[in-house]
Amino acid sequence: MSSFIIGVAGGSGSGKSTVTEHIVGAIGADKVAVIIQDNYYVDLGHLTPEQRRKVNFDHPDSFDWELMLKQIDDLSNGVPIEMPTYDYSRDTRRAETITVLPAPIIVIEGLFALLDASMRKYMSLRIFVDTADDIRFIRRLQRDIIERGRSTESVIKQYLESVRPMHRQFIEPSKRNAHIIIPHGANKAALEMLVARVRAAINHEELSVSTYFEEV
Amino acid sequence: MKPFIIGVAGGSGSGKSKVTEQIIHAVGAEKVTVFIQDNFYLDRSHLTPEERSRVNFDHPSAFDWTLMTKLLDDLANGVPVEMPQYDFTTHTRLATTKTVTPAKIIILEGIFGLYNEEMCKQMALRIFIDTAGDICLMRRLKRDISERNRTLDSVIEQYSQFVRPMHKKFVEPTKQKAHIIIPNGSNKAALEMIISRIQSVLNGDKINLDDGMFFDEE
Repeated sequence: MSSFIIGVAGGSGSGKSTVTEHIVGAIGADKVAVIIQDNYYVDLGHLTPEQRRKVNFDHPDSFDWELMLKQIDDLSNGVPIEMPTYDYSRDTRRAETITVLPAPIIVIEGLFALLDASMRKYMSLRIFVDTADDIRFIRRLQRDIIERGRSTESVIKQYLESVRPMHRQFIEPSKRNAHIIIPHGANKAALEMLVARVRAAINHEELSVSTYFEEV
Repeated sequence: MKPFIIGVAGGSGSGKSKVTEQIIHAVGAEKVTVFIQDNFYLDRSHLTPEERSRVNFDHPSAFDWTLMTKLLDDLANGVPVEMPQYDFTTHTRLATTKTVTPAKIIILEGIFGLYNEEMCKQMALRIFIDTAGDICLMRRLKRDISERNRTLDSVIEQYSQFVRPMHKKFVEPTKQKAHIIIPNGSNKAALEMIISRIQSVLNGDKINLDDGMFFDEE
């Protein structure tokens, strides 16, 4: 079985997970395997709390690329994976893993989903969710304060010190690796297109687009 | 039967017509009506050649929006239309028109494809082709010199004086009205997505015009 692999990238609070959830909701969880890059943060259990505070979690180096790539390769070859899970309060990998079974559709979602060339090679469709900075900041603020009990000051500090510069340095440029850009976060027409494409892939429909296009 | 109207916008030389061609190639010409905005340039036969050379053809006001919105509206309601034809060498509208009957899929293509709000609201899918300015200019240069017998200097002058500033002012901002943006000109994966959606509509999927998008924000 060869899977149709979709990469969904975009900044923090851009609406990536809305896109993923919409695909899963439209075609059924049994047909979609979801790989979330956030689960692949590097385990920092060996660092002191002081050292951990200095880590830039918004830098690509904070992720375990090797494991992620290996698991994408496994899934694309029909091999089930044990996706790691992460304990954000202690910056360590949890003992529990999530078993992800191979499926006709694989969604790879993450800030840096379109950053790495070897990972992009697996993807038949690369999507960048492009949402205005201020809107993304508002979402992050609300999420961090409500769900993670953070203070406004600490959210702003992290945003200015790492989220924003890392976004500009690594995420924004990866937009050019996308096949399509969805502006303003997810919108209905774009999601309808995406679902139609995914259904066509599941049904092996012939789409007869000429192949002369240069690869991005 | 309401048609599925697709707007394809983007700068001159961005690759709009390639998208249209690929859609027609994939789903069949009989299922697609093409609405080319360039046919709606205003007639300039009353101007002297001297006056015509000063007209800014890259400004939205160079187009006959009244006729354009009327004809798109007719097509959207299943009414055949008489499409104007334009002579670019004399900047005049030809006496002859082309009868166009609405198909299930209508593609509206033009640099200002997403400029008019009323027209945008009739589009179930709005696409902006976002190609780098230098690449667009190179394509325009090749086309104007080889197909339209223009000199290098005249192309560059028109580009600097009209095309570029008008693009920044009027075309580029319409990107915000797009449902999807295709970077680097068109690509196969994006085309496959568009065509999948068109096929699903041809197979009876619902067309949704109320996308709840952002017009009130602007």
